[in-house]
Amino acid sequence: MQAASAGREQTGWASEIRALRREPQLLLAIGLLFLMFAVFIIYPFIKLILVPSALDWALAITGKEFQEAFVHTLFSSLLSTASAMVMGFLYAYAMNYTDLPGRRFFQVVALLPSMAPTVVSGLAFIMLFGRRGFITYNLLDLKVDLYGWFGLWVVQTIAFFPLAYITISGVLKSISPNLELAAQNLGAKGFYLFRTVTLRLATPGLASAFLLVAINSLADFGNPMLVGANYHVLATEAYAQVVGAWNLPMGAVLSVFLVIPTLIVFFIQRYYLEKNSYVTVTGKPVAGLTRVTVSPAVRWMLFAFCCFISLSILLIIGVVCLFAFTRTFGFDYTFTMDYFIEGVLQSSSLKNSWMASMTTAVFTTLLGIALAFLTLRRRFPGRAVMDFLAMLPVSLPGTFIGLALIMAFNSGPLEMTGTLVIVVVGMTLRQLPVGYRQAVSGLSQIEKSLEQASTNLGADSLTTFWKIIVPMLKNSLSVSFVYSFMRSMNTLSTVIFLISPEWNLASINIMSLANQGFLTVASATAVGMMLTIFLTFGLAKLILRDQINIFDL
Amino acid sequence: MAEIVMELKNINKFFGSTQVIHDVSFQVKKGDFVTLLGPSGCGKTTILRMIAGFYEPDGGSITLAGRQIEHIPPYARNTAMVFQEYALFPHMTVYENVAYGLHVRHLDESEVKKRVEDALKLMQLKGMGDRYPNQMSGGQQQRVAVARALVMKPDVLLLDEPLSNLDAKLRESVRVELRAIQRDMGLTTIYVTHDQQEALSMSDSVIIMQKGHLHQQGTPHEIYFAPRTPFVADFIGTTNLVEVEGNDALIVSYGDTTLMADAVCPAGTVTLSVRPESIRLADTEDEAEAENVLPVEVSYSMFLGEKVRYFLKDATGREWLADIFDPGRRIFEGKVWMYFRADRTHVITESGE
Ligand SMILES: Nc1ncnc2c1ncn2[C@@H]1O[C@H](COP(=O)(O)OP(=O)(O)O)[C@@H](O)[C@H]1O
Ligand SMILES: [Mg+2]
Repeated sequence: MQAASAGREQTGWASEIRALRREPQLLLAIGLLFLMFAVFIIYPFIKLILVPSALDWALAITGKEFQEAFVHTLFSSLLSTASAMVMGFLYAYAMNYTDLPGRRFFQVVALLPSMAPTVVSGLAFIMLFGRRGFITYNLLDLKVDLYGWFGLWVVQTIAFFPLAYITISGVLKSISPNLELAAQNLGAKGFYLFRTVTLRLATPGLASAFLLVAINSLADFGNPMLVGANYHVLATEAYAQVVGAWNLPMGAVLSVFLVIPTLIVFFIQRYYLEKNSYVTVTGKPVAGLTRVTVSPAVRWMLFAFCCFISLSILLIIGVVCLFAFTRTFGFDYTFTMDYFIEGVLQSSSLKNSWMASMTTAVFTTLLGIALAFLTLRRRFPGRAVMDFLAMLPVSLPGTFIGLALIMAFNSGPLEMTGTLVIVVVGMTLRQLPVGYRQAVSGLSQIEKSLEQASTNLGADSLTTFWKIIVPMLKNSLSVSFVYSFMRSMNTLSTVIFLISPEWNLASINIMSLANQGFLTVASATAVGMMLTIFLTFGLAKLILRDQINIFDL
Repeated sequence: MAEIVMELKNINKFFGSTQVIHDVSFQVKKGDFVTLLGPSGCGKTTILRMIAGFYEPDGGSITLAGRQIEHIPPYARNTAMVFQEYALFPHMTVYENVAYGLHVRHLDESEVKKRVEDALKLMQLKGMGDRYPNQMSGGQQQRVAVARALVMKPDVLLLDEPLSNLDAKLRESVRVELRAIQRDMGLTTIYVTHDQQEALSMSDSVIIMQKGHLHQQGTPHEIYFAPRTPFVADFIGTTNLVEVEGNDALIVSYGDTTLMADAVCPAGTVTLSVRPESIRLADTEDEAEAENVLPVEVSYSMFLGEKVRYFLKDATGREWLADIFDPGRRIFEGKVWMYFRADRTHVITESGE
């Protein structure tokens, strides 16, 4: 037994290379992927680190405003991550552990904000609570100024709530109800059960979720710009340096500062949390067994909480629609299409966003599956490096990726600044981990023997890949397609440095219009964005004929 | 006569509009090992879960240790269960897993320690208290699951196919061990399985279920030799089920001939069960030494080592199975006589539906 399995698992570079030599296509594919990583990840990042001089580094480290921005960034993003996590957890707990009335409604509403850029919550905040906000000014006649860290906190909490909710819900779903039943069977109940079993099992997943939300909020650009006022964070500082002062090296230094915390977080997640995850060892969940039922008092508290959150979300979307379609909401309530025509129909930015995001979705899906196939099912030297590089962008703030790309490709043989190509490259890099993750999890569920059967019948790697793997992964492929499309449409920080006057994007338009005070057109663009995403989903569903439901993600 | 410690009365259960348990009633005596046996999907797990409190029955009552429990939440019943998938807490060591229920009860740490260590010793897990479940083999995990339940000294111990994830050899030894421990501790036990060998060899009492109906409760011997319904007769072991005409006598009509049954048959069509191992074969009618003799033709025979299995066809065209043990070198062929004693037959009057 022992000897036989040891023989089969024979590793070592020599045998791996020999196997590769037998399949030139495979060798070619691996070579191309590594080349792609070298050109689009390694080269830009090295360039980004090499561009700033020692003086730039010294200036950045000693500069008071930069130190302040660094502290602000950490403080505000950790604060909003924490509050988004708490809210996301309560919401996810209510959805997964209770039989609240209207759960379907709550689930759908919680995901609505992910159809629009996070900056829309900042926009709504300005419209409701800003200096001329509908609630603060028109209704309450208050002269308060909520801009700054407090406003930013509120806005980011709402903005990152959906991400926290989706991730935590996934974590809670992966806990086998059997374990909670077993605990109940041994006499545990209520908070004791929650504390000793549910929470303990969820902790690694929750930590990962925390890190994911933290990375996104650390790098977020739009909302600090809109409601942060004088509360500068690294992302806005870097923007000011690059676009305002055209000081690229300083922008680069600041984005490296931004990347340090996220990289630390990435390593913790990858090498500590994943090893300590319990999800893989739990048994298969039992269909139809309802989990722990919470006490009636807790149940109604959760219900009230879910109502509050969904109403807030609906309020945000509602106020965006109202501003988009009335002449001057709060003063002149006549219906108008003018802003929609201006922001959506006459503007090319939505079309650009759509094209770039669609292309990105195709690339990330294909790259994800190719990478997953290679790292999971083929043995070759550098497999671990490939896996690492494919997951790395998850930890990189969008602003960092964007800056690295313009520095690498604004001159030389690969000059692409000012084109849509560089936008697509940025988006693809950013979304690659999504496609890769999806493909990996889909692929690990497919029996290896199916491929072996195909090989056994004479098919080579490429044939096996196209004829066996791809069709079987249809569902997870459509999920990653839809997901990377949606996230690319909404991304702001990745593309802020990559756009050019000819190639503006809708998410950026919303932010800059709002920043300049054109709240109505910004709202109309946001509405156009949500409509575009919805219509595209409908279309994708018709074409792909899949069973996936975006609200079940 | 031991006292009744648990009773299910007219239990029904619906999932949506489908009824999966139909009016099931049975009693369990204190210290008994009772097995729920039936094909997969017949509702065994559902019954066990109703006893544990994970499902509420839709009608009927469950009494355990003198109180009615069907509306009591699972954590307030003392019905420790061994799950089919073990459901060990992956974030706790073996010791913590076994101690979990005792900690919930706020027992003294010294008492907890003593009881956990006793249980670990009993399950031959001594010295493994510090391991995590994922560092153990399937067989060891299974022992931990049992220890975790035993340590609770439950009013009734529930086991849901606990051996199904073990390989055949291990299954047999764990079976023997489990039964010995259960007997020593005097633990009332309900055991779910679809394996009839397991059920027959371990149980004081076997309950046979099919499609949510309880067909029969009895000792392994009763179940085997006195099945009450054709389903039971067919499900346990192998049998020949023959439709005969009874007329309030021992003698029943079968085709053109008569057979003698083990009991008086009521008038009308009844089913007679004859086990293959009760049938003998002879070359001539004279050699047949039993009440019931039929001329048959051997259509096929199968050498199985300790026995030869014959596929026989009688004058009515009906197929019979006969198992001849210790066959020597003799293999019957062609036209032969089969015979069986009246007291080896069993009359089944219920349909069980
Ligand atoms: N939660 C459930 N929802 C709907 N049907 C169920 C559920 N659990 C079990 N069933 C059905 O009830 C019947 C009995 O199931 P079960 O008790 O698990 O059978 P067994 O354990 O004997 O194999 C099966 O037909 C099964 O499909
Ligand atoms: Mg079962």
